[in-house]
Amino acid sequence: MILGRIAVIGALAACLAPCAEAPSSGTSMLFDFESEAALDRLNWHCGALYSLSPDHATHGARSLKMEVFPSPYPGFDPLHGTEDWRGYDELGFDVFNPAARAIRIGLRIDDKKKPPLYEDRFNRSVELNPGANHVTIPLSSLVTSDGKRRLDLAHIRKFQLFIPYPAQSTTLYIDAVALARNSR
Amino acid sequence: MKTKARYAWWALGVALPLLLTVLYGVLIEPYRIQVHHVWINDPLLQKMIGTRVVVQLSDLHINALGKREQQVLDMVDALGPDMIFLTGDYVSWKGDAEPALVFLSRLHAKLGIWAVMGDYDYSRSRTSCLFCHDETRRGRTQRHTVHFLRNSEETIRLTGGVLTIRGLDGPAEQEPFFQTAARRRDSGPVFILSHSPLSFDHISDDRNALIMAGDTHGGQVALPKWVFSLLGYRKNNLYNEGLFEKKMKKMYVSRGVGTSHAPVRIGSRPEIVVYHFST
Repeated sequence: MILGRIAVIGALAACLAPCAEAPSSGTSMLFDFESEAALDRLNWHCGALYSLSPDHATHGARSLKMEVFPSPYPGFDPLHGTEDWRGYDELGFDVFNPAARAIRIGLRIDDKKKPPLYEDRFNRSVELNPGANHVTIPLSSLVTSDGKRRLDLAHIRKFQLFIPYPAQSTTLYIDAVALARNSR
Repeated sequence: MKTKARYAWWALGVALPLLLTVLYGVLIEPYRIQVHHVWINDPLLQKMIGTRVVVQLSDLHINALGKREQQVLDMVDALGPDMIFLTGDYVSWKGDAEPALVFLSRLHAKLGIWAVMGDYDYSRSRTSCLFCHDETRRGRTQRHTVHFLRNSEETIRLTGGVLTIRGLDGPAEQEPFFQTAARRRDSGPVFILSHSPLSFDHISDDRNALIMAGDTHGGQVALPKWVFSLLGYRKNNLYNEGLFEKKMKKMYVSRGVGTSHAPVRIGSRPEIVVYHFST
């Protein structure tokens, strides 16, 4: 009787151990912008204002309305502490550009605690067409700008989406910032 | 019985002074605010500032407008300041900014009040906007007249020249804008406000700069440097409190007014700094 119970507990533990390491679903929603709490989680900087908007939501009822003003690198900088992105294949997010012209944005991803130099982090420029855009970054492409190493996906410290030196006030709508696994 | 009595007396002999010290550290010293007059030898600043009253406040860590905060306001008012410089940490960690904003609204100085933010002020970054902006975060705040300098500067014309006042903004200590602001060359004297005293190392030795800093609280408890080093508090190990000079640059690290981590000060009285400049 006792041995039987021990066996059951052992079997459950054996099942839970590997399960604890792998993501339980194909997508991990990092930011969805459905409540005020999402705004409190953002790193607020001078040059950008954030609010929840019912417009251009691609997941749930609301999106993040981001207004940036002429300043060095205003944008969206949501991470605190360290994130573990292992077990996923891509980072994706939706951006709606309400302007009649394309807007070029910068993406920056760091894996160092002390802010690294440009060469020692991932940097990419993305052009947002007018209207809806879905941006996908394969995690296998997260290599430092000097090409010397891959980012440590277990220790992602910063994910920043910004507009470099905007000449005028610019608005973007962001939603569904998520990590995803490709279907196998 | 004799052994038990001896142990009891021994325990009392150790425990009682310890208890009294802790009680002093919690109930008395945090309210023994000192006006600390600091003399800086600088003929150019002496000519420009003259007898004007220059005050620095730091690390207020305000939870509510209580006895200590009112005491500070009364003491600063009594000094009749011409310029007030604030070096950050106005709130407790993730605390409410409202009492600090009210405190700032009650500060008055004839020529102006300039300030930088501290790391605690950014602990709720959305709230940190309210130090400079109104509730909409679009317009400038009308709550107080403090000029917050975030890797930016202002100049003020005084007798004999122009004084530059520059604010260095953390937590971006390693970011390029901080470095640009720290390394900018000035033709005249400059007051640099920095929450962290570690900024001293980023400023050229041949700058005629007076850096006003805080952050360390003087350790809150007077301990030898090696203890801070062991605990990993680099800023306390290097620049715990007081005046530091290297060639032309000078830095004064204030012990501040409030407390953090533990509401105790022992051998590290809270201070309001008043600067005097001599030839």
